[in-house]
Amino acid sequence: MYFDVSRGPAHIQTCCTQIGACGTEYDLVTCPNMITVTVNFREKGAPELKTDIFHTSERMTKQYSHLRTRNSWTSWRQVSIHTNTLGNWELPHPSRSSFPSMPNNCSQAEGYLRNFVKTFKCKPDLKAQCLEFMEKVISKGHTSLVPREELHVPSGNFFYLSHLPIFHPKKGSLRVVFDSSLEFESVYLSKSLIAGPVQMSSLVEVIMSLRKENVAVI
Amino acid sequence: MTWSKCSTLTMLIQNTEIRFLWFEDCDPIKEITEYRINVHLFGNGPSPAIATFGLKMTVNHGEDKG
Repeated sequence: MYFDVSRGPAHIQTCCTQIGACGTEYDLVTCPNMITVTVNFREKGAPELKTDIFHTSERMTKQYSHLRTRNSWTSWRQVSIHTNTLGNWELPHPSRSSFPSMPNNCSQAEGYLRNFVKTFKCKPDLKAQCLEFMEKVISKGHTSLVPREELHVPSGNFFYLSHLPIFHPKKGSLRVVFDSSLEFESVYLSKSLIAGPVQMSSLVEVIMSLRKENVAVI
Repeated sequence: MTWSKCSTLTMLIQNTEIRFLWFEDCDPIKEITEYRINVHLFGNGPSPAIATFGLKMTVNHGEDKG
């Protein structure tokens, strides 16, 4: 609310929260409700007008930053989604658009693989399981061999991930895990990815859904 | 990061291609070559959101068909 008494009639703008079409977004809109002001400011002398009535609180900036991540996620979501020849969904890599391209860390990955292979000599069981796992991954089409003509392209943007064997403590099975926190020239894969939206519904959203209808489904 | 169990989420390469080094034909005697990752890897920040999104998309797609 803002009283502009010195410049003629008082203008009061009130806002209320409104839930968007999808039920999760909410924004401030002009409230249609009327407020009648009974006090006559002119008679009693106009109160001192303050110019700094509105200020942005820390909480607001926090909410806005949350909205920003949501926006980047929405823009990622709206990128062309299509099914490929196998009938699988094809979605783009969720990389930040503002993030510079990743450096080529082939030499680093080579070093990691050498260490990985070294452990094979003393652990033959591990070797067999690792090879079996990787074979499975390749045969399923999750990864594919890079054609010879695409190898060692100097202008290409490639980022190499190191892999390490991880034993499942309960199942006792082995899986090869990729390390997306592998740092090279102070850049790593996790850093270049957009943060997805918050999966848990916020308290405000829960309260809003209670206000929307009589029964709220959370 | 581990492999996504559901192979329906293929990754479209835009700026940077994610690769890894492994033996040719999974044979440790053969030379090391490069492989490219075709699917979304799990264990990253946006992974749960991508999985949910893919699931929702499949549901919507199925509804349209039905």
